[in-house]
Amino acid sequence: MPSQSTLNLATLDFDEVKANLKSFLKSQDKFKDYNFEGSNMSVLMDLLAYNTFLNGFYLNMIASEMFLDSAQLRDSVISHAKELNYIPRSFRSSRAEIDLFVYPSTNNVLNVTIPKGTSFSSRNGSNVFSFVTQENIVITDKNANGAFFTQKLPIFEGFILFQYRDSFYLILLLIFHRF
Amino acid sequence: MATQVTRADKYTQVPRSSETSSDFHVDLDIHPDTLDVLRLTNENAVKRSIRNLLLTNNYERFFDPIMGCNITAMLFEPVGPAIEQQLKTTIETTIRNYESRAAIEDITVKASLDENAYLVSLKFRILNKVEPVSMDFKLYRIR
Repeated sequence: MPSQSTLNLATLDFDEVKANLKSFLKSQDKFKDYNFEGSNMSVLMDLLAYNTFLNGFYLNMIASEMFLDSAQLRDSVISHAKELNYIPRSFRSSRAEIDLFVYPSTNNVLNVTIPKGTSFSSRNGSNVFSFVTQENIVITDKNANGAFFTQKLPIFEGFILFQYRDSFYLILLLIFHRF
Repeated sequence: MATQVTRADKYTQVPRSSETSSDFHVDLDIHPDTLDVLRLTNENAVKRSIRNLLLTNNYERFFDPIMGCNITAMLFEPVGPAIEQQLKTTIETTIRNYESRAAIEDITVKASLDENAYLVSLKFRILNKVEPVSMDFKLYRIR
């Protein structure tokens, strides 16, 4: 039998890889008398075929994850979307709007500032939920009782883990962690 | 030392040894003269193959979970006639399914209560060979 110079590995099926390895080795002078069904040899063939199969699978996954059309993992799709300046939606925190009254201890206060990340606590039965403000709020409105007030102040459940700032569009995205 | 080939040697017919199956040693020993891998042939290759099959547990081989004997699990059980019968059936089935070169003629499994082991005697015929081959071995737990 003429010696086979190339080994056909263009398959992802374990049994086909093993059969190709066998036919390749059978054609080599070194292995021409071996019985490839023999058990010790068969164990080695299994190992070689499994290794080839794993490499084939791994490369196939890498190749498919490299393109937006064929990527299957969410992380890969998000990574490709970022290259197109698109930030996909993710989990969002619960949002509440509250009316807030602040009674200053002295009368000569012109405004009240509520810093970003100020925590508010709410209770529903035995469950306690924490909410925080998304940005600095300056309250200037005052009512007849001398209390500073604001209506429909947005607060978000959780706390701020980190913030992402886009260098081109100055988009401020706050990431909240929900308990 | 070179031996002289006589005229009689030249014309006398010598039965050719046919090699139907071959394998190499499990520890990949090397022949001291030829520096090639030592080989097991015919009967020894089949015996080695059967031994490997019996020592293989289920789920050990890639993509072939039912290959093997699962003898290890049986040896964990108390020694007795029930396990004797199970061992006999399992060994017979495995060889029939995975070793097509051997045709089983007889299997006896005998429990050795004192040694906490089983004595297995296997008699089979290799494909296209007339003489039966026998294998005797002892199965016991090593841990």
